[in-house]
Amino acid sequence: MAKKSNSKEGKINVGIDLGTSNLRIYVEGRGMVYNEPSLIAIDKATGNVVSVGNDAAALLDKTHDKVEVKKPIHGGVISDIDLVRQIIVYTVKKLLVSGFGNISRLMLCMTTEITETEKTALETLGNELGVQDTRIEEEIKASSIGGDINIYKPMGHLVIDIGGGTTDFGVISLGDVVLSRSIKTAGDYFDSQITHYVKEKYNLEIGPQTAEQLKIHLASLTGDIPINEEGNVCFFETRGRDLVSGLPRMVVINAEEIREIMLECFEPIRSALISTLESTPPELSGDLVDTGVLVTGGGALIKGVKEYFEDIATVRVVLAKDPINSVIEGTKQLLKISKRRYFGDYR
Amino acid sequence: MASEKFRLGIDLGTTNMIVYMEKKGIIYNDPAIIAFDRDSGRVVAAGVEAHHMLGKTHEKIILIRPLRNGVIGDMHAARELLKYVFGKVEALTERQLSNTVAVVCCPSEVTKIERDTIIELIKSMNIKDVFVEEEIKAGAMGAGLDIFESKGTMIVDIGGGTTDVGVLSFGDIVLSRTIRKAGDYINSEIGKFIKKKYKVEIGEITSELAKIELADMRESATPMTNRYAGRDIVLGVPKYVDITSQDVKDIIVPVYEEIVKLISSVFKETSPELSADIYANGILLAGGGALVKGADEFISLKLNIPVKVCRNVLTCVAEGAKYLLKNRGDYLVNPLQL
Repeated sequence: MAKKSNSKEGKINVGIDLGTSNLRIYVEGRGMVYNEPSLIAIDKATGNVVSVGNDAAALLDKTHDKVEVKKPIHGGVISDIDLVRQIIVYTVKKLLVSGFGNISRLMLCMTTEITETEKTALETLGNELGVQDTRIEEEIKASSIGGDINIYKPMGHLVIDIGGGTTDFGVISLGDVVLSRSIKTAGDYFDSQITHYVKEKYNLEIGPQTAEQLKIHLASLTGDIPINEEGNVCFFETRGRDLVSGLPRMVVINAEEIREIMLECFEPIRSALISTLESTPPELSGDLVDTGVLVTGGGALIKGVKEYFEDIATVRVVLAKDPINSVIEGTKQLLKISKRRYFGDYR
Repeated sequence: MASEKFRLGIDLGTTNMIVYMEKKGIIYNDPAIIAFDRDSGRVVAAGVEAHHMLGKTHEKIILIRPLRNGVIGDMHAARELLKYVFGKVEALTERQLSNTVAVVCCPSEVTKIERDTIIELIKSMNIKDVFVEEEIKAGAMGAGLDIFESKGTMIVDIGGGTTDVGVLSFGDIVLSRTIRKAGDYINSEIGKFIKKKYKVEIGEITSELAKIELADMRESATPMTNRYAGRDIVLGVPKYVDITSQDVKDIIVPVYEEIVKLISSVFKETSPELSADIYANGILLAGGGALVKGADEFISLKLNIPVKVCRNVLTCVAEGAKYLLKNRGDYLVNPLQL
């Protein structure tokens, strides 16, 4: 591959959101080019990458033991930095014909609970790949920018990002995170609780995708139980494997049952929010009365989440317009900034 | 090149730094606070912009007030702040700075070492010719008093970090006293009081705002209530708190009583001749604390002496530096006649 290292022409900026459940890649000028599960399948014997993303997800639970499907980021924490490297290298090489040679700025968005060692490891990775300007940013910062907050002001904002693996809470002011908290109660946990419930109550084993569908269709937190067009409580026909007979079976689960599970799941989120608010410096806390709370991430799509948080925080709660993509949207904005800064106009 | 000398008067206040430049007037009048980037040590913001950051920064920014209680607490930050003023605001070159005379005004009860620190600071800015004078002396002249007669005058300067009381006669200070209770102290007392009474914690900027908006010591004051935001200390959630002017008055009155005590203790040591002059002329009130409505009335009632508020309470020190630059603090030379 010909490296035109000195010419600025053809150089591009790339942003990568390394989420627990999804890996998203944004390329300047091309938009979001990649959005697939953060999974990697490797050949056990050679250690070579077999596939990543959707292809790897398709292999999940369906493969022989020569191939192993792994999640490099587990519960918001990097479980294997080497796999993270491989997943990044593999996808970027697949996406960009020119590979890393043409990237002038690489931004990696990570969870808030990243250690200094991991940070350095990722920065070194960027340098090894020939990217001069590698930056690591916190997801919560990117998602607040993506949620249309001007963070480069001496004004406090509270952002709650309910993602796949973790729910992150961050108080942002002056272009950076003042304090943050991360708990492992998020989308994946809701799914597993739903699976657990169906197993206990109906003796039915359901897969993770079915559990997710149940959540997407029925989950709600406050207000009236969602009803369908006919005026009945929403329900979902759930198919799975009967634990006793081992045969496929279908049960009907309604929104009321899911409500109970969700409320229970949200208890830790509730207490984490309260403890975040408690540790917010008073001046910033005072700002929150005006600026309110921003909810992003897939969890913002749960019905009634706005009222639920309003009840706890006693301030206005705003849901991000495009909650799932707010991190990548923020990355896009952050990539445009050439120098680190804390305040002023960022556009 | 025998160009004309530049002359600077610097009021290194705890809350506000004011710089006066000859022929240009006041070139800088902003909070004495500066924000650094922790990693690179770069200056992120200074003055008003940095002041807005108070209580709102993350750990990548360090916010420093170079002056604490009227004296330099952080040499490096003080130097950076001056650099910011000279460089950004006025674009003075190294060469111009080396051809500059500067006078720095400080509270009256500072030690020799503290004075030396100030001189060292200014010298490190490449200004070779520098001298230190008392704030009250500059303040009195800035307020338009002729202190060069053999007539006693008293000035009370209620600033951010300190309150200075001084008696001047024949061009210099006869007697002066300082207490470290002033604007900042009131702010922190307001914060404590609100926390205790309403169970809401408010930040430094908010308590300052409450003071500015609500402070009123007049008997005839109309009660006011303003709404401020803070954090409920019981539930932890953001909350509005309604602060009344009576609340603020309850905090301010003891502080001003303390100031009255200080004034009377100065009077006890003042010679009767000068006391008589002061009684006739009245006390001059300066500094941000003079802006509290009814402060003059309060002191005047307690001491039975007329009290006047000078017209430029915040900038009188820097303006007075103008005269000090002319006579270099020499009591024999009356700059008003130059």
